[in-house]
Amino acid sequence: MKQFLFKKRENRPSFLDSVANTCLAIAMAIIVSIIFILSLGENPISVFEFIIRGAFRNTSSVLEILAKSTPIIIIGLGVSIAAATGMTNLGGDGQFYMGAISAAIIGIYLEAPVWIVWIAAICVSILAGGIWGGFAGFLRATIDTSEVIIAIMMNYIALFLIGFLVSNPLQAPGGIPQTRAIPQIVQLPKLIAGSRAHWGIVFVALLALFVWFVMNRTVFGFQLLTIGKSAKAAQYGGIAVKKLSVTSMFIAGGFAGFAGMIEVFGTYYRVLEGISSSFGFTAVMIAILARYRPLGIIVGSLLISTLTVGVNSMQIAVNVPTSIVTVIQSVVVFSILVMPKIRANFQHAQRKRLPPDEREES
Amino acid sequence: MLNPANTILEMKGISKFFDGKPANDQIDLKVNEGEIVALLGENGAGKSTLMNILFGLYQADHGEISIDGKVVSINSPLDAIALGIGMVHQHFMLIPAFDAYENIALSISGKRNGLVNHQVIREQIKKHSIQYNLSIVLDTIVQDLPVGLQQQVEILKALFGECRILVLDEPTGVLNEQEKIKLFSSLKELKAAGLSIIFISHKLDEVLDISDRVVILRKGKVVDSVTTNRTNKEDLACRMVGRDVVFSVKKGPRLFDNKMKDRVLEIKNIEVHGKRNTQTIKDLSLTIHRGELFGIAGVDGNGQSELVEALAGLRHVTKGKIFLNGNEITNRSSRSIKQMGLAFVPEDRRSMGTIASYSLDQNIFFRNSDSKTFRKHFGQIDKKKLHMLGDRLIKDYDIRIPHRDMLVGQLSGGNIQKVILAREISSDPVVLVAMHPTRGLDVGAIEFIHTRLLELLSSGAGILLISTELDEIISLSDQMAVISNGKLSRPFRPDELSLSQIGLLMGGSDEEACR
Amino acid sequence: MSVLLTRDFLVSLFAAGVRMSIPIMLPALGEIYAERSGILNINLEGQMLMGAFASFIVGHYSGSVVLALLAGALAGMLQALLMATACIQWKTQHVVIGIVLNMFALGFTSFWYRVVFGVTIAPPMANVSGGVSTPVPLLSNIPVLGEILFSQHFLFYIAIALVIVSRFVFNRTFFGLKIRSAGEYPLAAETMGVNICRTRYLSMMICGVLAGLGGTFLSVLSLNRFVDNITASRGFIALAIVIFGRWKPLPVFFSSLLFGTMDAFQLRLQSVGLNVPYHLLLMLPYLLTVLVMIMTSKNSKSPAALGTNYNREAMTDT
Repeated sequence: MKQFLFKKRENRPSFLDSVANTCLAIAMAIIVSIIFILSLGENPISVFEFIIRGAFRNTSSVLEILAKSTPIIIIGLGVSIAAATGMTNLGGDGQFYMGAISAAIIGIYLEAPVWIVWIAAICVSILAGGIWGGFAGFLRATIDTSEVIIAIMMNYIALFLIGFLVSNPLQAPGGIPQTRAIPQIVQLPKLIAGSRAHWGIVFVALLALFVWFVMNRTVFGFQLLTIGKSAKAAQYGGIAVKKLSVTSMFIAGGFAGFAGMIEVFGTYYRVLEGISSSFGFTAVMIAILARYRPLGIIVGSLLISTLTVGVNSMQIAVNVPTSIVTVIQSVVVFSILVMPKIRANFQHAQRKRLPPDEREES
Repeated sequence: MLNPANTILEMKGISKFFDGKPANDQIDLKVNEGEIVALLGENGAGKSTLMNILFGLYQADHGEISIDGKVVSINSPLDAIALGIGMVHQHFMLIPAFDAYENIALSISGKRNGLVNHQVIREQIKKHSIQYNLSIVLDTIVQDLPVGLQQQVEILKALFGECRILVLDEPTGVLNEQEKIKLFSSLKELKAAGLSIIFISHKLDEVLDISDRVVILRKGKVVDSVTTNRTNKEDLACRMVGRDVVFSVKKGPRLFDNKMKDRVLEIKNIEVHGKRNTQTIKDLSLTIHRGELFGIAGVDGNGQSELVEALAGLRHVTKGKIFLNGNEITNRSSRSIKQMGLAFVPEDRRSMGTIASYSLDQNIFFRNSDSKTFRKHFGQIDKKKLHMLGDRLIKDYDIRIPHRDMLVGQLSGGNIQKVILAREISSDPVVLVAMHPTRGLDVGAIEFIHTRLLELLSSGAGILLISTELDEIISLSDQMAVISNGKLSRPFRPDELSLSQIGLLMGGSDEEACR
Repeated sequence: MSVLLTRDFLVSLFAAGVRMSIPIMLPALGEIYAERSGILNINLEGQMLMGAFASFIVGHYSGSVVLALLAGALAGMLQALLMATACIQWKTQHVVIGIVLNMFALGFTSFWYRVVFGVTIAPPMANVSGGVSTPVPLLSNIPVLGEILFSQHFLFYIAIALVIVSRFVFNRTFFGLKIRSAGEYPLAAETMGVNICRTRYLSMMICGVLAGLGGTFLSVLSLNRFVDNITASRGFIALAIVIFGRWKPLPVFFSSLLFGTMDAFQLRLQSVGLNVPYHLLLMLPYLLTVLVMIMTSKNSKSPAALGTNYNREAMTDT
């Protein structure tokens, strides 16, 4: 039992309860999507079949799932670290862009051995994303502005900054608003030639393990979690609340920046507008869904990516818009958030009806 | 007088449970027209719970309430107000950001949503305040008013609801002597006008002074009901407490005599600002020697919180200096102050002193997370060592914890306080600052904590004890002082002044008046 | 540069600024109600989006401005009710649930737009005759001022009326007192007979209606079509404006005008063909929001209970 002592992060319901909640949430999502699909005049069963078949139709589609989930997992892991101190990092997209562009600049202009280029690109992308995220965290910690609104504004600022850079000073010849490609030698190798999945996914697994270790085993992780539980108590405990809160947002931003680097070096080899399709928002959703646990973030990202790949391939056969993924995703997360409260309300109402003697037991 | 014809309120068999524990247990209460009934009882006797049930803030689990002989159901304050029940809460129920006028207007809003007729309401306020001799400052934001005036607003607000039964929950706790006299004269005025008043208090003199009848509560039960002019202070005290001696632990002979003049804590003329500038510490100084317990008595909210937070490094000190064992600690971080040997038992034991959703080990660790003792390679937490320390503290401090992984929030108040005390004392402090360490605890736990504090003294540490329980301060302190309005009286030995002199100091009178 | 200082340019700039402020002014005004009652309504964006979409559908098929406005208001209100239920009934964290519901609105509108209209090369138009300006008789003849303020879209006049009404509601009515008390100290308010749940629900409904109208202006009245994420974070800008305007209708009105003008300025500069990269101009409103939030938050006095759920039973403390 000693080993599990620190695993108990919150006064959460028992394992069975959380399984029940998740099942209810997924059931809700399925019901909603059945309603949506029915109103399209399609057969839900065959649509689901198409989605699953589409997602697992061949090796390349499976690898596509891995490729799609790579950046989301990395950003989601970062989100979970910010969430430990009570911050919501909704700025993943902006941080991703800043990481991507700075990594691309290194990739294009730094002429050095591959390893050095990689390490430099990783460091610079983490720094760029970290500053972008840390800024929002800094304002929250010092002057108590909403880090959510600042982060969303910073997303747009990054978006337009990238738009400016790829259509002006960094534009590749040819008129398309994009940078030059990074040299082939520094590109991350593919898992299987011809697919979109690359070795970046291995980083992801290591990173998740690392995050788990830090949050569950180390003093640093403990301090972050303590701040999130009660900033007042943490301060009394001698924990540097402000400094660590900003740090947690810096790390979250750094993760998103690193995701940008991975995408540039592994998938696109250059930066163009629209390289992030709201990864940041998706990552926050999944992190909430996973209750900020690394393994849950991996599983959740894979599930959502499966759904996306499946729906994408199905769209050719059946006319169901891809945005159904967004709907399903939000319905699941909404239900996950709301379900325990509804059940608690229900139980509370039931308990109230019991006479006092029996209640003492419960 | 006990003619049932003019019984206005009757509460029958009221029971209320919190987490399975009875706060009210089969309580019966009758109030007649034009009568002042005092509800007397110690902290936690269930007085406030009963009144919150009457006012619709809580729902009783059992029992019924009837007004004018008719059984009523009170599900919200709205119902209570409609039935003519007004309440002056212990913690004022006023909107701090509103002025008095807006607060009173809000209180009569009821089901109305339309226009506020400024003139009519102002006229009415004027009329009422003259009629009941209340002083109302209309256009100042409530949070900027002195508490006495805030309370007048609170009373007027209750009267505005056309109330026939006025409940006052510990109304004198925050008042100084003059404000108290003013309040009592208002209450007599109201009684003469035919109102029934329920007066909640744990102060015997007040109860004897104002009430017609005293209902005594102990541990959630009514133990007695007596007519005021047939009782006296000693009698009431005995019934209220239900035991002869409140504090059995007395400090022994001083182990460190005056030759050991080591000053462990020295506060020199500090000034501290409170939240929203509510209460400011002005020019406060005190000195604690090795092995000495310095007690600060005073009514809540007179700057105690600001003082201890400043000491612990949680609040900025604007002027003056603080020395711990000769080293200056003014405005240093809470971490370094702790490392230099200042241990701190905060007043809010559930949300500051501990983290409810952490285990015992984690609760010990969050106050020591920077210490090298519990750190392994790669910044890992040494859980084994921590666990051993936890085991030791559980044994030494008799912490009743059903199993080791249980969350501290599920423990009883007494056990939570033991966890905090164990953690703080185990760090071998030079000075321990303890704020309300025994508030709301049962006798056994209080005794235990007092014993531990005295043990710590004998090991040579200094203690600063802050409490609202005068008996506690008097029985434990070597030196004591009274804090009032952010100012500390001159230090004195507990036997130097009489109880009434100390009481006067607490009421804000200056020292000359006590001589 | 001289082209920027001509009378015509300035008049058209400010007139466009006023027009562009409408879709942030209305939601911001609504957000005052929500936040004053204690609910941090991050879902504003979603409510605008729902309003924009519903009004577009109704406008497209009916061709009626009135019906489109009604549909927009209703859709915004329904989305706000969902948010309100999650916060008040189920006591979830306002920020988190707001984000999730924004996502839901985005997916929902995008999905149904494609279901109804499919993927077309020529995007469908709303085609309601409400996009034009309605000059106020007499007042619009005042030089400069008349051209800027009184030759506007009728929603602007409605917005002005709403600002005045809101000011009145908050300062002079029992309803306003109740809203403010619910956002300051709900427990005390309840002891004074205020029904916190009801007050917060009503405030959220008002907010939803105004946000829905803002969305309607964007899709039906201004752009004449609907595109995915048509609101482009205007809901978040409105949130910042509420802070900048210290939760008061009049300052919020003027800050909206400031932001609208900034937006118009950026567009004008592009059309004048000055050699400023347009991406950097697009950035301006967002940069301004960040600056404004840095400048104002230090002395801002937010409602004391903003973003907290009210639970009467949880007030015991022993």
